[in-house]
Amino acid sequence: MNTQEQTWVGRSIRRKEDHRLLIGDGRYVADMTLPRMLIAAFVRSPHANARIIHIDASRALTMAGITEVKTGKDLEHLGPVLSDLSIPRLPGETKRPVFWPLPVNEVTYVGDLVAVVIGRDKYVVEDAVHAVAVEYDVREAVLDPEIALLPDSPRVYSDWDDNVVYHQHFSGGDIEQAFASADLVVSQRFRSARSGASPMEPRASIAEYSAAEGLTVWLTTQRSHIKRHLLAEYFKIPDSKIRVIAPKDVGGGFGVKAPLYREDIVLCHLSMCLKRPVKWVENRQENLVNIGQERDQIHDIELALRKDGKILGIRDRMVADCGSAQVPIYVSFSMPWLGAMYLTNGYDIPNIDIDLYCVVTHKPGLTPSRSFGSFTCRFAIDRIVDIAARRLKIDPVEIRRKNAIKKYPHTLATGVHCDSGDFPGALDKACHAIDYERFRKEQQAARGEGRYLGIGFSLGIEFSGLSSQILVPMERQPGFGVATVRFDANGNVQVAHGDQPQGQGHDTTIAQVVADELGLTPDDIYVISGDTQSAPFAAGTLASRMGGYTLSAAVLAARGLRPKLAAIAAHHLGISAGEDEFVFRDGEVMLAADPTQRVAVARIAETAMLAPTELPPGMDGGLENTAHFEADTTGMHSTNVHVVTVEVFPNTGDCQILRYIAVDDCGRPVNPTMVRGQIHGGVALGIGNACQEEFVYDEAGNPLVTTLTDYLMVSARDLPHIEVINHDNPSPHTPLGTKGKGEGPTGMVPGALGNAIEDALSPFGVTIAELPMTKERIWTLIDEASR
Amino acid sequence: MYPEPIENFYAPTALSEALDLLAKHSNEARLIAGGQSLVPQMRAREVKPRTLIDLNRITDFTAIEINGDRLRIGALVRHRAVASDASLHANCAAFAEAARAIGDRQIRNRGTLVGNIVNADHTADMLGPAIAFDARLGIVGGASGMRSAAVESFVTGPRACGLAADEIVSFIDIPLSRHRTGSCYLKHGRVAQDRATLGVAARIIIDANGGCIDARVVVTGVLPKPVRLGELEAALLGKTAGRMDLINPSDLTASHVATQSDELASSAYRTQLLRVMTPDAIAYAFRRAG
Amino acid sequence: MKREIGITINGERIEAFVEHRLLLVDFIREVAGATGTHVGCGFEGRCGACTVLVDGAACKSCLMFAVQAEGTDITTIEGLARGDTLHPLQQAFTDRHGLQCGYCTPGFLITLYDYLKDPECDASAEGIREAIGGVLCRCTGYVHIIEAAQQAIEVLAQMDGAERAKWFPK
Repeated sequence: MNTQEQTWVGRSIRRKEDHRLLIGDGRYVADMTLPRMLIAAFVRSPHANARIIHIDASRALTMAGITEVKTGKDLEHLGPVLSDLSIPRLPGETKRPVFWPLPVNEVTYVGDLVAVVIGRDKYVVEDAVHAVAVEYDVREAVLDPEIALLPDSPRVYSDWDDNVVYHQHFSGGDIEQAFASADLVVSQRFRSARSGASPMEPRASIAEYSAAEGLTVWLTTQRSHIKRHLLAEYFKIPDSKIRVIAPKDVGGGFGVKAPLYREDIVLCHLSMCLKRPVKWVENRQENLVNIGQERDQIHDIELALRKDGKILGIRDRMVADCGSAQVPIYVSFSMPWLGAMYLTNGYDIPNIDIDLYCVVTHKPGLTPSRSFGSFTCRFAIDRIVDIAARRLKIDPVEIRRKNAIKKYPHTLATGVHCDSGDFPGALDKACHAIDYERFRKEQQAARGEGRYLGIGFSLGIEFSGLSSQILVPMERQPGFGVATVRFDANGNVQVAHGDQPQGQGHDTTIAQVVADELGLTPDDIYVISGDTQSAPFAAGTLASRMGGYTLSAAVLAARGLRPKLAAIAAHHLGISAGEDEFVFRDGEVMLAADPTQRVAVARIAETAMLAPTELPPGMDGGLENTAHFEADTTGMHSTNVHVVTVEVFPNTGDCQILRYIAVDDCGRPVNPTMVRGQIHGGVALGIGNACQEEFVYDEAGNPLVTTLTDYLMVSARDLPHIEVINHDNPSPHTPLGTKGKGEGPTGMVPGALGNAIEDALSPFGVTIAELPMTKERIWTLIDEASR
Repeated sequence: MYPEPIENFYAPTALSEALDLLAKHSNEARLIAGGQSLVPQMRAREVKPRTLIDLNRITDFTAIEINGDRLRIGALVRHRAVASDASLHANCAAFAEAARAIGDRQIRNRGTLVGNIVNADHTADMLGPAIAFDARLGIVGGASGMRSAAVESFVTGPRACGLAADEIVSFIDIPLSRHRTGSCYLKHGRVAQDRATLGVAARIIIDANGGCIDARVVVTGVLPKPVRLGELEAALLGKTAGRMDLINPSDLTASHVATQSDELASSAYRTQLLRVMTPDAIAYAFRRAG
Repeated sequence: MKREIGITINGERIEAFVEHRLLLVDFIREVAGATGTHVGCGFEGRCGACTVLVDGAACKSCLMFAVQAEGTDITTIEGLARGDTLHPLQQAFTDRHGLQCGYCTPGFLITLYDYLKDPECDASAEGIREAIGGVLCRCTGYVHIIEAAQQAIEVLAQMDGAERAKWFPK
């Protein structure tokens, strides 16, 4: 409805966030210091499975400024962490691991919490952590999820009758008929090591308590309201006595900062006991052995096809190693569950049979990471399609054309609803951009020279937020987006919303959409989020929900103020005219028919806020509106195609990415450059996880990867240029046609890359089925195939 | 992660002062130059010196100079200077290549060539070139007051070398041949920036006819310390770049180097890298000599 | 165990009585209060978010002790702009969307400052990738960071010597 010739939406304006960050004026939790603040650090387990026999903190307590050492026994009275509120309520069979903020009797992975030390100086606190002597009774660890599934396996939780924390059987269509009528069935086992997002900023929290104000917690979190609610439930105090603040600057989240963590609970408890602020800043070693681990899945897939390449059905026995699963909200099985829900993804496969086992072991619980539960599923589905194509001698593009979802709305056999998209068009763009036919000729010519080039495609859907229909059963949390648009008396606008950012640039995109609605500029708008005391209640930032849900709420909240702005303008002008007769432009509300009849928005705001006596008779003062947006569909998605070309060097297994192209659907990009930034980052994470990043454990459950020199986080030197081609299909379900962007690009990578590498190596006949595809793994496959 | 308390810290400005301090604190002191390996070890509490003697203010250590038939590099010369020094490029390219392969820009701005050798990690990038050139360390202090040691024998194992507690390495000398010399350092890591899964350094000296009169080929990244491929070196004598086909380096390598399996690579993969990288390193060195 | 030191940070000399083991990054952040420099790894010195200029050379301040920096001149992200005018590198980062969460940004700005101060620096993407290999970013995929560096190189190349020198003092 904006009548400006140029809208703010669709323009790559500079981000509002940038200036403070570029001059070093950002404020992250670790940067904060409060008066009388104490420092906490954790004693952590060196054993994967052990009973705590005795903890001797006497030497630690003699050190300068060390005030407390608390153990699980000291906090046992608080009770177990998981409650009905903090455990997913999915269909299927769920068990509830019983655990405390600090383990009371036993530790369940290396890095598990044992005790907390509090003191004045962080260096001395670390000395004291080393001085705490702990005696353990070490036991054999259960580490392999498939062995853990055997009936005679030792149990991670002794009171369970097996090691399955969650089991669900998904079926849709007629799987028996699909396989009975198939011309070809291909089967393959796929698996991925643990890997994940690991944001550059580790976790940090500060908890402060006063009897009058209650508890205030600064947290590196994606979801302050949810955490407040869970903390209130746990400590049995009203929500109103807790304030959770995610500061404006949080250094990356990617899902890793979505769960409530046990350390957060311990910090809150300490501050309440000590009546002093307590701060904890996670170090990278703690970070790498505790959180950010995902992807750990095994898929035994069978795909039934007709000989023309039409996929008839899929079976998958999916085993996810969830570690000890001591992660509130997600309990480590939400991710595999959603991965299974989205297994068939952008492929139209009407008949499915997926048997999902989420297994506990003596490793850290899985935590969410960008491409939530789907990374390994996406690898498996994009790979099995290529494997089938090769067997049927069908071109990998053709088999995708034949099986991609084409008609919308579409419902996956698991029940996931897809609203809009265009895979055939995206495939065309990808083939054109990479010059597919020419590449095939180059590939042939290169083979003649003993060089191995390959090409791989992936296609998939990216959710644009999760609707309440999914989030309520999954986490008992709302899917709606919410925003409050509120004028200042000088005509500036404050927008408070529920999706605090961790670098995504929400302040900028919200300002762009609201500026258009109200005829203002983004500079007139400032944005508030992350503080439960000022931001409206929402589930927080996850699942690319900003573009679909929260931006839409901001649009509707702003739009909802227009009738009042128009009415006040008409009153000032002494005319009778409705909202539709006005345009909102250049900071003024003006009559479309006669733009000389105009009133500055600032004057309207000033009247509404400061001089209600000058308002039209009967109108209330104030200028503020809140909107909740829930789409009139249960699932909004974008449709994307990625294509990558590689050269593989069989002598060493080195793989060089020649070109990486993402054909991407963002509905209607609000800030195209920022959308590209999301895709670049998502793809980079995908390449890292697919090729080089891996959390490795030895037979005793010791993590072998505890530093960034061994967790090979992808650097600029490891990556190719990433090309982005827009293929936007506006959503029919959002006011601006916007869709979310962020979660999706990562999951596109492993399939495309795996397909390209296997294509390059087709003369050797190797099968790429395991992640990460390291140089050594690739060479080993070639070596074994050559014997 | 923070180091244990450090009781004494000294930043001497003269070598003699450093030696005096070292004599006084030798059993509990560590020298720090670049510190790019030492500080992480201290922060991980693997190394806990009570005394730290910082050599960064000793100005005698900072030069790269050609001294007759030797190129002398002071103990405080940083990797960045090694990577960009013209005389090093001209005379011993393997050192410049190794310097560029170390860590990253910031690490190279601070870390030193001598420190990389004295730290003696089996993956250290500078060890291969140093042994390939038969470089010698100038060592001061201790009973003798001053001595010289070949890097090849000085390094005794992973993170172990023949430096006494009261000695300081003040420079490294790289002998320069009158004849045409070519050298190369190749490194393989799991990713672009990594420790060496395997490193191969080669130095070839040729006569006027292009025939090899001296060859050294050194493998790093294997335990317990760098290995010279002696039989291959002998076989290269008399060969020319054009007649490389007369030898088959890959036959000569694998059986002579016991590659280990560790967190970076399996033994089989290392052996494969050795087969692939050794001929390449030799070929580059020949090309640069010619 | 402790000694009095003075370090000049962004032109201001900060004196303090510090433990020998205090890391330079903690001196900068906690003693001088310049929290624009960040910490992203535990001890391994890989992430680069703590990069600062020590007497003009980009170094990882988590791999130095504060006592080693006694008497040095340190520039951090807070010291790049001139008054309200952003350094061409900072300007390029906002023009080209070279940052998202901002946590690694101090590392990139300081490392690239070190790279760009050589007027002959390699402006190719390849050269820039090599230069920034010691800073890790999880948000951007580095593409816009490289574009930002290239923009800054171009802008600086168009300046005359004196104007350019203003952005690379000493």
